Amino acid sequence: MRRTGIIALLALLLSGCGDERAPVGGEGVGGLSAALGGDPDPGFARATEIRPFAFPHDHGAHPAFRNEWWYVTGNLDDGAGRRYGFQLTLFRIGLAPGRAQRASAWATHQVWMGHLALTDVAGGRFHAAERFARGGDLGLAGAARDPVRIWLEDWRLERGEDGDWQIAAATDTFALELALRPQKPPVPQGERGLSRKSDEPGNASYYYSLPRLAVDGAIRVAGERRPVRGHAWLDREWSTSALGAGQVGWDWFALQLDDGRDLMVYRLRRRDGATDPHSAGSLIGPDGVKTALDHRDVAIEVLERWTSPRGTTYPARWRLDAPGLDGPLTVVPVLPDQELDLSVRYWEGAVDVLRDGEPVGRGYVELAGYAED
Amino acid sequence: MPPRAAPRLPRWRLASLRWLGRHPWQLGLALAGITLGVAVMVAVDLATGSARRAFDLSMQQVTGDASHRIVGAPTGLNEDFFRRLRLELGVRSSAPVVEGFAEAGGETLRVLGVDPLAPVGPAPRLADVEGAALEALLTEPDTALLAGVTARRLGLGPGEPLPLSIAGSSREARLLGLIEPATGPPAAVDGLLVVDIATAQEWFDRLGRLDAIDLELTAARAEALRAELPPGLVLEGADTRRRQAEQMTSAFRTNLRAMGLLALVIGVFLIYNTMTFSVLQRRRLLGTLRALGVTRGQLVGQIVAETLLLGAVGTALGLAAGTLLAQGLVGLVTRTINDLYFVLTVSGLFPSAADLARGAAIGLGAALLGALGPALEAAGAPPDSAGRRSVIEHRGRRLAPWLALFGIGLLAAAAGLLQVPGIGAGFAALFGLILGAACLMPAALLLLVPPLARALHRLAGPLAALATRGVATALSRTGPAVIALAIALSAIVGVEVMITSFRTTVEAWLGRTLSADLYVTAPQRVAARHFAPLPDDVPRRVAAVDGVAAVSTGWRVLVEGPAADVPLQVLDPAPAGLAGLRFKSGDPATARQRFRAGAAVLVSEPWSVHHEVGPGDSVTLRTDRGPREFPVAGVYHDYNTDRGVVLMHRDLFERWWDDRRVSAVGVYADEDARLDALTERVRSAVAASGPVLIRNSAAIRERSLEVFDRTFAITGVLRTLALGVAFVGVLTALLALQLERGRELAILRATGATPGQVRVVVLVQTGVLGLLAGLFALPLGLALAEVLIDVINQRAFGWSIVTHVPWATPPKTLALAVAAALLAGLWPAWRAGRVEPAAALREE
Repeated sequence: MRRTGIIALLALLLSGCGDERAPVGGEGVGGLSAALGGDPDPGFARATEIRPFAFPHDHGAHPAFRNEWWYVTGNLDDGAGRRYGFQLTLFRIGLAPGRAQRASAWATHQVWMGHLALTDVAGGRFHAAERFARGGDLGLAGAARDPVRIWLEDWRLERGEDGDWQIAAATDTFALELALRPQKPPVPQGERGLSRKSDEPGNASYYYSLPRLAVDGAIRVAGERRPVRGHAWLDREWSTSALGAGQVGWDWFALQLDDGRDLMVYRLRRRDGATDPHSAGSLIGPDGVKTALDHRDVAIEVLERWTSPRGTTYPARWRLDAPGLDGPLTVVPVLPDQELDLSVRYWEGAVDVLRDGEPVGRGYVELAGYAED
Repeated sequence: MPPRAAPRLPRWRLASLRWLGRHPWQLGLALAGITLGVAVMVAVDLATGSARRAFDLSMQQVTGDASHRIVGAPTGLNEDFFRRLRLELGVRSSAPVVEGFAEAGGETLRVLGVDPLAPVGPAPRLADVEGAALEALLTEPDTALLAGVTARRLGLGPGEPLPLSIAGSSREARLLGLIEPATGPPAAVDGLLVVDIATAQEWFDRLGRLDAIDLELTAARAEALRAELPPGLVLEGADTRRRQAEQMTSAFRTNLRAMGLLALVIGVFLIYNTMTFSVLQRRRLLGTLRALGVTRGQLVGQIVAETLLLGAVGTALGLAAGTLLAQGLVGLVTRTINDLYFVLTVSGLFPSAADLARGAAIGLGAALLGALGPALEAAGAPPDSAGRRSVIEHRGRRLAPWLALFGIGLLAAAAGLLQVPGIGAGFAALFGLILGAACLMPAALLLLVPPLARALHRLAGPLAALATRGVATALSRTGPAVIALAIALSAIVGVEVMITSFRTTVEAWLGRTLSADLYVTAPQRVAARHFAPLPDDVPRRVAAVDGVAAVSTGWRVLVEGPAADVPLQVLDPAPAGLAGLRFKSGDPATARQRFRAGAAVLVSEPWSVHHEVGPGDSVTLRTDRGPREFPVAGVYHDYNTDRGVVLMHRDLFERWWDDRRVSAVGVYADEDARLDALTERVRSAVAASGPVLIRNSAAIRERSLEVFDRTFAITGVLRTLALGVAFVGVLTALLALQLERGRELAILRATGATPGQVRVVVLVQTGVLGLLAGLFALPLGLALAEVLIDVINQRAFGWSIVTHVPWATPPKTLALAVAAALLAGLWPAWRAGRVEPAAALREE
């Protein structure tokens, strides 16, 4: 349930270009709503019917659809008892359907955006970076299938023949170098992988998750390399559809419980603050068996709020309950400020999961559509 | 008791000022002098300064915040290196660049191919372009963003087609939006057409290549990157291009500035003239004031204050007029830069406060300088004799030999300065020469007048002799007038002789060098020195045409030298093709033979002068196989570019560079071939290869001389302005002279001369003045021409020019001198005829 990609790109295009650009002004939002409300190019495919996923084929790109992303989040520990959260997202945005039929290797219809973040809990710091690059034969950014490889310059997400994934991404201040081993098979979200966002046919995405990957590797932060271990979550989604009418944002939870179960819930928020009936989720057993949840199954109560130094107020502590959870869970950010101040401002961060005050798991939360940008 | 008066100027000061008010024409001419002098100088400063600022502004817009730039071999750099840079070397803050030029609506547009997603370079500055437009820029071929100011001039808006001519082919771009600079004046982006890098590669046939990569780097990262660069690629600071542009045009700008300064020097004489006159006119008043107890210091202060007031008004007017004049000049300056140096699409006037302030300071300074002499003159005289005219003239005549001695000293100093290297010293010598000659002129007047008067006495009677002698008697008046006119005329002679010599030399050189009958070139991308390659098969096709005896090929590239880029001219000469080379140094036969054998290169004269390289030295160039030293066999005369070139045989070039391109093919016809028929055969032979330009050598010669003449158009304008300033000077001096000598003329009338005879006396006198000025101007002008040709031009551009004095120059100069003087004398003569003898005599 990650729409930041579309929004960020549109913001980028509406405001001119550049990495270090301030967020778009009020006018841009009007333009954004208009753009999102408008019809995508009919040349793009739509997610209209259920289709079986085929792996590793579907780990690669689906350029017939307008948007697509590879979204990895996770919680890590180093040998010295320090705690980290990380995020690497690679977004593909099709500006026009079809391939560019031109002589230049720079010609392309694809633009790539990457977000990279590291939460250093012990250091009390949150680092985030963003970059853009064009697709095209030149190979600055792109996705390949054999082997599966998605890259934006030197930010890379690769899958080996053995099914393990590799992440390599760095900025001037921090770096990730991680190996990820899936602990469960891919889980199709929504209705056998078709995730409907509104009643309108085709306003849907194809969506699957690798809900639990064991992580082993190293990070570089504060000028030193630190070996780390932990767990990650990989979300894959591609679509052509836009925001449903009246939807302003979403809260997304991906929680990995110590008992081996994984929970994903998203709550689509309507303009009036109500929960959109298309909100949904799933509870995945240690064996990888999924139990679908719909919006009536999940109860989310905001316990605290936090206002960022940049002026946006986000929910900052939740009570979350759903059938089969053995009692309500409390979700607490490991650091209040995990706001990505990028082309589009949103909150995405590592959280602790408690039950009756006792830690029972860890996870990641995304809060989009709060910032007044 | 009378009411207490407000603090006011002392009465004597008022009296002095009132005198000026009673002589409005005097005021007007003084003002005109300062105004013109300041205007010309400021206009030149503003125009050249604007061209430089235009370059800076357009660079800023084009390079954005880039601090460095990677450039490659002559063919650009392989785009794969960009991927390596981003993926392996991890240099994110980089932007690819493919540049070119296109013609649209009779204008040259700078086409900039960018990656809109790049974090540095111009892309982040493309503000105010809508989302859909940027999306289309990336995905749709032939889409472009045009500078708003240019679009409005061409009457174009977003969504409209823009027909372009690129390298001789027609293309149609679609305008997606307009570029308005986020900071700076809208004119800063004038002529800029931004396209996606893919479109630029397709338009300019640069598939797989980039022209440059812009970078934003710290010094440390730049050093690290430099070590990683593959051979052939160079990392340079972003200011390198600016510095190169500065260097390229510095000689040109210095020359213009000198012309402006010359106008001001003439202006100073004018002010001196005016102020002297105002002092002399008031001699009775000033003498009385001294007698009444006004101190010398007070008098000096008064004259200086008056001059400052005059100077301030004149300077203000001059600044305004100069700004107006600069509007016209900046077009000429920009065109010359485009003709000779590089494409500059921005041509607006960007006045700088510094230029205006400098103009104001120099204007006021010049006014003071001009007034200093007269002020001291007024103050230095004893109270009772300040009024006596004869004292002044006597003093003037006594002063003349000393002044001449000083002038000789100045001339000697100028001669010494000529030995000092550097263009600054050259200009100092030039001005030393002018001032030294000026100092000699009063003495020369005193020497020349008596024999001239005797001669005229025999020829035209006593009245003419009387008139002539008057020139010497009123030396304090006639001296400055003659000097101002002579300097202006000598400048005209000097510049004219220099230009004529230059043109004659270039014409002869063109005749020798353009030895082929026809030249086949790729349609030039722009008027300036950008050479587009010909399609690969053109030389072979041309050589096979019936009636072609031989072909030569040429190619011009910039290669990296030890300090800066070196323009390399690659020549595959026809058997007789080297005969046209004239050598300045090095044995011609050996040099030609070693060049042909690929054993050595030749360097053009300007290159030899700028780099102090001659036969026996060598030139180090970075080849595709690393740096290599090439021995120099000779220095040859070449007037193609003032940067100079290194001439290399094609065989030698191909040994060290992987560049097989050719930009021109020279066609030598069989003896019996008819040229127009041959042209048609060549045209049809290469028709399939793409658009080419076929011209005969006469057409090229014509076009080259056209550019030459255009280059000196601005000089012509400045020359005319200098003459205008001088004319005002002569007019002032003559008016002053005749007014002052009213008594003398009245005596003439009283002793029976008719008004007509009096007028003849006045006109003869002014004619003699003009003649003398012309006589002084001729030798000075020729000396100036020599300095301009052998020193200034040689040092600034490095060209040997054969002096060529047009036979018409001496008579034309004398005629111009006499005509200008007579014209200026018309009104004074008419006034002189109306003098009432009784009234004029009573006045004394």
